[in-house]
Amino acid sequence: MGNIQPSALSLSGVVKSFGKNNEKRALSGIDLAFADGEITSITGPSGAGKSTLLQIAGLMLTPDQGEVMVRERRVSEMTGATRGRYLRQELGFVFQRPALIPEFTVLENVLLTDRILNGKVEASNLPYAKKLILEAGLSGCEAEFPWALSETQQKTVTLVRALVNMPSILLIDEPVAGMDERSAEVMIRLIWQIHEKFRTTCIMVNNERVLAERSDRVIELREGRVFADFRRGL
Amino acid sequence: MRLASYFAMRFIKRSKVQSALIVAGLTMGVAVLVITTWLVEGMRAAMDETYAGNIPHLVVRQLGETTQGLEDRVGLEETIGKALPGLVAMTPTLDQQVVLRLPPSDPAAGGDTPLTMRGLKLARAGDLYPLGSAMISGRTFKEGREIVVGTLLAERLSLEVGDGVVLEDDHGKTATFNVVGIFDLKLEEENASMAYVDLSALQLAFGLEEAAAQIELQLEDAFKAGEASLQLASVLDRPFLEIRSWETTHEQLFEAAALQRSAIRLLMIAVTLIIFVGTVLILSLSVYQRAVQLAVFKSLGLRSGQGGMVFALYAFYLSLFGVFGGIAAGSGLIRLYKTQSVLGISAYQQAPELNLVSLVLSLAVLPLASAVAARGVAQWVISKDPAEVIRHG
Repeated sequence: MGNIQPSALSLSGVVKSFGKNNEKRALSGIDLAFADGEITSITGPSGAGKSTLLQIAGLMLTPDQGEVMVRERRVSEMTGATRGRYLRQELGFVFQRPALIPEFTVLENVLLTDRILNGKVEASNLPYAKKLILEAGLSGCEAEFPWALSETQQKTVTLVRALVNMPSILLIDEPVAGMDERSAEVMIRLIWQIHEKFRTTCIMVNNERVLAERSDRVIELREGRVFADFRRGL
Repeated sequence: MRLASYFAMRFIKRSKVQSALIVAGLTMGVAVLVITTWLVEGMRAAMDETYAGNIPHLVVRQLGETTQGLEDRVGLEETIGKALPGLVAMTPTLDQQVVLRLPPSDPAAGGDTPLTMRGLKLARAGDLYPLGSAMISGRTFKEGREIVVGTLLAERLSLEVGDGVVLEDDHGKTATFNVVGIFDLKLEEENASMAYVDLSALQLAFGLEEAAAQIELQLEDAFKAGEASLQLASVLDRPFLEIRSWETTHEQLFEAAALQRSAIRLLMIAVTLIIFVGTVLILSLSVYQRAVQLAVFKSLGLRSGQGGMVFALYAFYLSLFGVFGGIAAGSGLIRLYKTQSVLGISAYQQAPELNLVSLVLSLAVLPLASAVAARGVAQWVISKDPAEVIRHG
């Protein structure tokens, strides 16, 4: 028997269309399983369905057909608050654009998931959140509001927010797009640090060669289908 | 609820300028509503007073020819008093045609002056016969041989308070009354040919026993006279009794008053609607502007119901501040208008008092309506794809 790792997240027969009459097909029957602790890059040309795939995997979108399973649990069979809580604890999602609440400070934004899930900020999470902010190169920014930060810094805060609850699966849309080299390096280092420390499963949409080369697995999408699927070392 | 309230207050506090502008706008809108309500209430009261203030809203009388007038008048009055809760004034009246003669010693004596003497119960007549405020000399009559006459009659016959007058009916029966007051009812005919006395004194003076021609009634709301007449007819259930409302006795007056009332009501509805809809739209827009925040909340696990509640409370708190601010500002301005001359407009002292309790109760709907609308907008936004909302705003 080979070394079969359990699947952290899987998609089977996923179909998604957009438009008034669903005339624009974004994904056509995707079957993918993401192994626990693996870093995957999803690449492909614009309009290939990369972001749609990530959003369905991150439960931001519901597929028209097919099933998403998180840790072998069918998402469609979960309901209401249980589903939300379970999924947000398992998943961390980072949007392509910074997604911060302008009325909240950096620290408040980072601790937002905690507040939403528990109704309050757990005192034990505060030092960890501050440590992550520090490690992300945002020292002294805890009390700043998002509008006082650069776009790169805002995106870093979004990543830190996704990491603060130590999710087992991290989904990132274009992590370094539009960043200068130095900021991109900080971001990449942070992602790999987390991955190595907690064996976090990372699924990234990106077209950056530097990221794809460092990933355990690269999936290329074209016209809503898996065009290629490589694993490093295979 | 605590979480929703925390987020709602955060949005209010952290967007100080926007919150302040919204509250200021709502305060102004509500203040306009308060002042308009007050002015309209004043106009309506003044109009009701002008049109129906001094006329009987209902008249009860005996049908057909009768010398004695109303049968069992006292019993009738008791029944009416119990049957009509909105009754504010009631008096039986009797008119007696007489000629007035001055004592021969009087320099003005000589000619006979025809006169209508009206007997009534002044203490219960209220605004039907506002003689108390119309006296320009002397006082109103009491029981006994006391009479009050109009200014024009007094002037023509040189009558003064304290003079005695001899009155003679169609049958040659005479009675002497003392002039105790001179009135000015601002109506030429009344001032020239009417005189008022106590009903019992009139009956006694001319041997009319308990006769009364009719019972005149005034209601708190003149426009409920039609309804009241039907109610009264079912309670009284007596043959040969006629109950007429001012809708028929003063048809033109009633129609004009009803028309103006409708116009005022329409104006009030329009102002209220504009302010309510404006408030709800401003707050809904403010929620819509926070689409990205809602998308972020959703992506972090906030459920649709919770997101709706955050903005329902946000709208509720802001409109509550606006309502209280508007009531305070409106009441303050009203107080100013009532006591001071503002921008060359003299103080409106005779305006009615503002009914704060009913105003607060009716305005309580505003925060609730705003909360419902904001919740609807928030839930609609939260149903969208968060990634798309974050990308496009």
